[in-house]
Amino acid sequence: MQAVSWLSKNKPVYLGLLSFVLSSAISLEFSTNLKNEIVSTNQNAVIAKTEKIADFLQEAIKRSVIDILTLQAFYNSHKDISYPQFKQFTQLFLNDINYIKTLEWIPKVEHKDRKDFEIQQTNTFNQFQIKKATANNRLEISEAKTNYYPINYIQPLAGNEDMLGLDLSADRIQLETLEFARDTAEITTTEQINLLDEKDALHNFLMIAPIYHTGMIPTSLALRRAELKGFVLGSFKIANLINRVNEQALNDGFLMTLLDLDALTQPLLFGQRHKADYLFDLQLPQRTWQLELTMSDELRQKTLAPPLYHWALFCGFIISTLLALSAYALTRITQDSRQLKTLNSKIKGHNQNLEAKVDERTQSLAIKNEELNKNVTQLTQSREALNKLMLELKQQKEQAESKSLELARSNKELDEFAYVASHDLKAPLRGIDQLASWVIEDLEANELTEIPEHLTAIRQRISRLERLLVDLFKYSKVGRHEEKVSQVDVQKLIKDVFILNAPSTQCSLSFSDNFPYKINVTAQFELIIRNLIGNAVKHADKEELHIEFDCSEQNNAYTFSIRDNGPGIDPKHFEQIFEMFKTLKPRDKVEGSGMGLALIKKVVNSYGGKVFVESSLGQGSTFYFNWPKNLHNK
Amino acid sequence: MMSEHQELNILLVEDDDIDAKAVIRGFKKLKLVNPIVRASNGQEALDILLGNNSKVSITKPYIILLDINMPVMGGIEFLTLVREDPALKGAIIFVLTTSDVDADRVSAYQNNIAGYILKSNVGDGFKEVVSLVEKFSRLVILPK
Repeated sequence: MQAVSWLSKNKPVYLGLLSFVLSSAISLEFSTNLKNEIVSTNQNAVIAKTEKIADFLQEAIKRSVIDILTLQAFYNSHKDISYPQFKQFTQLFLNDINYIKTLEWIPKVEHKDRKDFEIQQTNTFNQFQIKKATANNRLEISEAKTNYYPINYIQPLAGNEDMLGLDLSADRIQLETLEFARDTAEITTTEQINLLDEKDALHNFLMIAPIYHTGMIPTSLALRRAELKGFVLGSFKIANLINRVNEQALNDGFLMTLLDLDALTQPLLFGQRHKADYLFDLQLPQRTWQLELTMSDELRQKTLAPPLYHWALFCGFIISTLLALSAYALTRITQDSRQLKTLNSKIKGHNQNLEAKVDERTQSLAIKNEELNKNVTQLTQSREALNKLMLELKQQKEQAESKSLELARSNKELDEFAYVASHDLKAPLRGIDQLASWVIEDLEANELTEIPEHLTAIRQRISRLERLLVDLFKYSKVGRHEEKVSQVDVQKLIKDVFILNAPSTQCSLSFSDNFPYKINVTAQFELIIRNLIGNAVKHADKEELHIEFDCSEQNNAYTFSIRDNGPGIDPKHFEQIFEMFKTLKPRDKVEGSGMGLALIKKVVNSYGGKVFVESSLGQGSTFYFNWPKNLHNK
Repeated sequence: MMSEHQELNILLVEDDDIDAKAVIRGFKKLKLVNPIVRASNGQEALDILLGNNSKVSITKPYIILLDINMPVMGGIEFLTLVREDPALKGAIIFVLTTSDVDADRVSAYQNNIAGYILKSNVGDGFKEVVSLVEKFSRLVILPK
């Protein structure tokens, strides 16, 4: 699996490589074919060129042979040819062609005719003698021989005067050639020879044609030897023959070499030995030369590895590379896109799965949530119920506690009430008793001055006792809430109470702006107002008393306040003043049952409210008390 | 004896004028001339004892006749404050009571008071109280 995936993963690389290899092979094949085509074309061209060169050379040789043949024919057709005739005739060739360096007439001179011949020729040429060349290229008079083959005529003569009279047979090679030509009656070519007048002797050769007396070619060898009259000879300079051809060859990009295949001593005629590319046989009379043409490196390069081939190969390679890259990229892209597609579809699948799962989960979560919510709701409800129960329990407990506290307090209050009642009821009685005894004593002692005072005091205590009894009765009724509830104009009620209890000339009354008009009250509301106003009036220490009522509203209750400009109360007495029978002033100074505030406290408490005071000495006092808003008849 | 005897001052702490007058009449009847200083409640009495009252003052030796039920400051509270004050600690105090309940309450301070008298027991006036004070002042050498 891994190998396969690896293979498929690297598919682009393989495809790229494959396309590279294929296209490279194709372009190689193509360029090779192209090369072959070009090379063969080139080679044909080269061959044609070489052939042309060879032809050119062969043509030159042919023309030279023809020249010799023509001269031979001239001699064959004329018995005796004088030098002027020879000169005139050969002039034609020499003017025309420059291959031939010299054209010569070589007669056969027998020794018996030597003297006559030398004398005769001296007429034409100055000091004509038959000579020979020594080993060191010097000329000397030829020794006596059977036959001589001296150069008789030479054209052009100028510059070649030394050559006159030179016996060619003195040189062995030349003699053999001469004899060969005589015997075969053919034009014969020598191998390259040294000529006296030449420094570069190696670059000459001779073409020799035999001339017979009959002007015909004798049929037998003996006749040919007997009938031989002489030879016509053309001396060729190889350089002359070859130069133009060589020029052409170099121009065409060849190195030329010329070989004399029949040469005994020096076969190389021109150039240097190479491994030749092209060989041509050149036919000379009785001799074969070989023309060797070697391509120059440049030409070889051009021919065998043409630049076009390289370009084709290079382009092919480039194209192959591009193709490979394209294939790679294309495959890669395809693969990637396919992978992407697969991946995409996978992701899509995953997504769908995920979505489905999410949906599922969400749904289940929703269900669970709902259940949870239900549970929570139930739990909340249970808790609420529990809370309610606990609250009820707590309330009941509190109620029980408060009731037991209340009971304890009530018992204590009862005790105190009994005690205080006994004290406060007893005190006036004892006072009356005392006063009465004093009246009796004073009457007995006949001291009458204090008696009216004591009697007044007695009456004062009796009325105090009466008031005390009334208040006690009222106090005992508080909390039963048996009175009738009625809606009253509260301001009017307060004003009425104020008028009845306060001396109007020295007292003033005011209400705050937000004071309510109609509220539900019982008779006990009036009791509170009367006691508070009464206290203010009773304790007033200024010439003018001012009382101000205020009211604020809470949810279920009003909070009334009554402020006076009286002496004020020391904060340490704030609790004490609300206790029963407690007064801050002696009874004899301020008349009071000592029950007023206790009574108010009991009334307010019985309606679920509170009563309290704010004051400081010398700053007046403000008493606050609550009164229920929604008071109805039971 | 009398000459050696320093005059005993009386501090009467009583809110009820009649009761106060009764004590004063009792002293008169027995021809006692001890100076009597009247306070209407415990606070007034404290002020006098500590010299904080500009009008009235009292000098040692003295005894205190104390009522229990009084406005502003009652007798029990007064007793407590006196016992806590190092200067007043040794004061001789007679408590005038009108009930057994009062007697029970005061009993807590029994050790710290010279004795107590029930008002209801005084019969006609405060004879008993006065004579008790008279005897007490003769028999006991009071702290100066």
